[in-house]
Amino acid sequence: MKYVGKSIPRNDGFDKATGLGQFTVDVTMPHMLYAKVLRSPYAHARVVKIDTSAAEALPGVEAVCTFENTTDKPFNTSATMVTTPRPAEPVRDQTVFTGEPKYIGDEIAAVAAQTEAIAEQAVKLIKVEYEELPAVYDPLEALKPEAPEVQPVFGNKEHKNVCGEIVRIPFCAEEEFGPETMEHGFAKADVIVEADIKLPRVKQCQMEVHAAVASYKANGTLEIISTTQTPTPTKMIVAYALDLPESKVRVRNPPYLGGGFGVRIGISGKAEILAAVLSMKALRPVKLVYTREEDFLASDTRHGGYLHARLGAKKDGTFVALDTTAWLNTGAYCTFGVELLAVCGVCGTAGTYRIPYLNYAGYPVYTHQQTAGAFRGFGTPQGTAVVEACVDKMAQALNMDPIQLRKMNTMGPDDKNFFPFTVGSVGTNECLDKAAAEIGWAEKRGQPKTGNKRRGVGIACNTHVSNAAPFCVDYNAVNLTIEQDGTLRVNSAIPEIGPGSTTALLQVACDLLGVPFETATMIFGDSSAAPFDIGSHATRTLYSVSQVLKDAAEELKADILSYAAGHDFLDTDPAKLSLEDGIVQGGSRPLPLKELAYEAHLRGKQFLSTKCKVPENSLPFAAQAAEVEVDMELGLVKVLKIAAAHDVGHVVNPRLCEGQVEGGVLQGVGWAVREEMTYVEGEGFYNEGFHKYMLPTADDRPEIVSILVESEDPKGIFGMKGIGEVGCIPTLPAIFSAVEDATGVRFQEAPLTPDRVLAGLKAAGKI
Amino acid sequence: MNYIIAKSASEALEALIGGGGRALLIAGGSDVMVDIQAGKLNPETLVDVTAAEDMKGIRIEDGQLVIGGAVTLTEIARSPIVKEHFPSLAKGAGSVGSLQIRNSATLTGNVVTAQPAADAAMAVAPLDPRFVVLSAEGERQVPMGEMYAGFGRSSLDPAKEVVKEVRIPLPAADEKASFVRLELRKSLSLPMLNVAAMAKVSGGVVQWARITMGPVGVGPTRALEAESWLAGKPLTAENMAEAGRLALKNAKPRSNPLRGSKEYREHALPILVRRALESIAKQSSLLEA
Repeated sequence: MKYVGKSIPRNDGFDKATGLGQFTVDVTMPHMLYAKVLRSPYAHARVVKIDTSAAEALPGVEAVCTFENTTDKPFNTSATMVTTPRPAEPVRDQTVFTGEPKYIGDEIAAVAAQTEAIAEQAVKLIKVEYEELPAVYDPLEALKPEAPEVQPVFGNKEHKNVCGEIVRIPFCAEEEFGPETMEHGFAKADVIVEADIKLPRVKQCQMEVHAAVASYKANGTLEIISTTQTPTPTKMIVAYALDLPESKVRVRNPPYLGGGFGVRIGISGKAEILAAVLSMKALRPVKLVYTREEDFLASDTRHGGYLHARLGAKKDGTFVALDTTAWLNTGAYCTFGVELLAVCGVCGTAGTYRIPYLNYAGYPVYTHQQTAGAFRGFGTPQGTAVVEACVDKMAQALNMDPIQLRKMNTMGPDDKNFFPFTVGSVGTNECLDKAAAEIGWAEKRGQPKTGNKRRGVGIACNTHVSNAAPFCVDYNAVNLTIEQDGTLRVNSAIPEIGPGSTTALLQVACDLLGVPFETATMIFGDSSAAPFDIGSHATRTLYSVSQVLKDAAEELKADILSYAAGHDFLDTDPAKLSLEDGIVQGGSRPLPLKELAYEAHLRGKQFLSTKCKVPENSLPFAAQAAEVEVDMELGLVKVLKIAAAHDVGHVVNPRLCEGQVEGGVLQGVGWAVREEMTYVEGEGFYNEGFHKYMLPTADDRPEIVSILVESEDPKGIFGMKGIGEVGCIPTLPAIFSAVEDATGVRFQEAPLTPDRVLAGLKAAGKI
Repeated sequence: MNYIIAKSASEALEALIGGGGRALLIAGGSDVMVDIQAGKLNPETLVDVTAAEDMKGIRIEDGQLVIGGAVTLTEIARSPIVKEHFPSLAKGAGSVGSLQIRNSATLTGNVVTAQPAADAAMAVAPLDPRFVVLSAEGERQVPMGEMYAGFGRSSLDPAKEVVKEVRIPLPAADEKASFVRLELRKSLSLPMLNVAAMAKVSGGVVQWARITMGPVGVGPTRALEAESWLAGKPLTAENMAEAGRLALKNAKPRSNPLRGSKEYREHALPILVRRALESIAKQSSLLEA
């Protein structure tokens, strides 16, 4: 391989570092209007009366849309709208606007005007009379019989305030799963431990706020330039909700977007659809850019909530049974509620270890708070947090080293488990060993502590997926074109949301085909660039697009070589030929593809290939070790170091891969020790921007050592697995484990803010 | 909006007076511009003092450290003169906001915006600074304790008055100062609590001490009970801890959804006061550094 494995500088680096790259907020169009949104100040209310006359009369206002004059066709802003496999149906519980707001921030109306200032003023002129209704904010409260119902029309009819369904994941390697199965499993255990954890709602904090420019033309076409991570599914959702033919809707990135972390898998907040309805009414392009406050308070977050796990093991440490329940706060609308609770069970509890008796129940619970949806890790971090707490408890109960206990139970390549595909290569134990060595586990763990500042080390491991197949619809198409000068163009609808996908994918494509990287290019982030692509999510971009690139490159190469072998050129058996660095080798002379492509062009021929594929899926494994220092009298936890060992199968671009790990780790650190959205009843979430939300800054980052383990996965192209989401998953339990090592207290609630830690240390009699 | 770039403090004052109450002084603009953006301020004229020659620079003059009213926090944090005489001030100035903010924001601004936990204001508070204020009535020197009129309210009027410079008496050899900050994040965040102190310690005995704390009241709040109790006592571990406990008597911390509950702050404040004093003890070679 000429390119795979090398830290090739990213091909969008200059544009992004200098500010020359175009993002949605930079986009303008002729005759463009600016939009502002009117949002509910109540967590639950009914609009008794709305009067938009003063807003409409304001000079410069071109369109006012409300729940009264806009379609009320229910849909779901997330990609689940178009990726839910049969027999399940997507939960369609949202409308563009609502007359019965279900959280503080719910959309009531929107205005498009000639300037942003006029739009803002017009929104203030809309008079709304609300009747406030009872609300519920906590998932456990919402499950009680007396709780107000959040979604009386679309909610689960059997289980109050459960959205979609209670997700159940039963698995038994020993018997057919029945009501008694788990008790059989636990009966085989010598030791049983239990763990609880309460996790906060946290925000993605992607750098670019949600934004869309929508342009509807009188001929019925709708073009949207936006911050979505999934142009094609977003096209399908908008077309569905607004009853437009998909052929007339195009959604693209401009081409860059400032991060995602899952927050816009589907519609970006509601930016695309709000801009679209205003554009359709005004017949002018409409730009809607969320304020950071709107982004924080009116778009998806990570699910917070409660988890409980029970783990049984034999005396020698062999795990026999694991039973986990999750009650997570989905908020007012479902978006990814059902799928996320499923991944929490599948990857968060059933993925890392070999456990013959497994059970999981996940409750996605509606509340009158803003919606929780996809956020890097997608449920796996929550499941991992409680399971790893259980594993540490088990190590204590058995008086075993936590690493030794983990290593004897990690999933092996041939183990049968819940996943409907083979495990593939497994680097978990190597990750555990390398992370442990880097953190100094042998010397540091379990050492007696004295003094006020106490250090400790901890570890956790995990898995995830390399895409969403076959749990949800996941496939993608690419087309490859050899230009008339012999250079490669790759077309894909997949976006580049920050990790360097267009660089790494071209490294793969060029090695698969045998052409130079320097002259290859990629057209991306556009529903019109190529046929269906589900988009950039689920740790899938590099892994899954590479899968279909392989098929397309093989076909394209065969076409090129057979044409080159023809009478007009090398006049030989194509099997003798190969394509290396853009030159056909093995014939009577080296034949440059540049020459061949132009000669072909003169004869009316171009080398093209379009392929579409459901990708394989490979399990990425990881272990992270943390070192912390706790200031006991203040309850102040400082994360000193994270050693992050990740089984990435095979590294495509080491620098980009390490960047993914480091970014993930820092998000995990924030989740563990600082980040938390705090709800103030009657006012909503306190965290209206970065000033009121303790996202770690670059100054706060601990030392992060990325260790890339190559287990050479049999299913991944060139042996690769996904990495995108994995970096943030084991960080929280590793830090909790380290804090326990330092203080003797296993905390059951995140984040480890000073007051929470102090209270815990006091309650445990440690200070 | 008019924008006047004043070349001197008196020119700035003249422009303010000419504005008839609708002109506002702007130095770094890190608060003024935010408030204008948010619609909280709506001045007709902004009077920029960053080019006022007599408001620039850090110097020693007549046994005093003189910091110009337009000197940025970065200049203070990196000034060899400040670091030599008042390392705690360099630390406090270097804790405000972020590097980008400190590159434009000023110490004077950090005081006149009158926030109770402003790090630079807190660090300067126990150093007995005098703010040299120009107004239509002439020049006067205002001590720290008279700079605040209430929560977020300065006693100065930025539409009528100009702080030309800050004067701080240089410390004697046995006078040391400190600044400690309890933070959730190193940058772009107010602290949960911050404490600064200065004391004269001769022969291990405290001659006098000034301790300020925030956010526990209006501006940097003096721990007067602790200060007077400490005077005349040796700077021992027990006495520093007791001073910390006594500091609570002058503190009224409130709960904040982000930066700690009242109860937590009441727990942590005595510890921070003790640590601020411990820093002085270390500088006085009474404790191992």
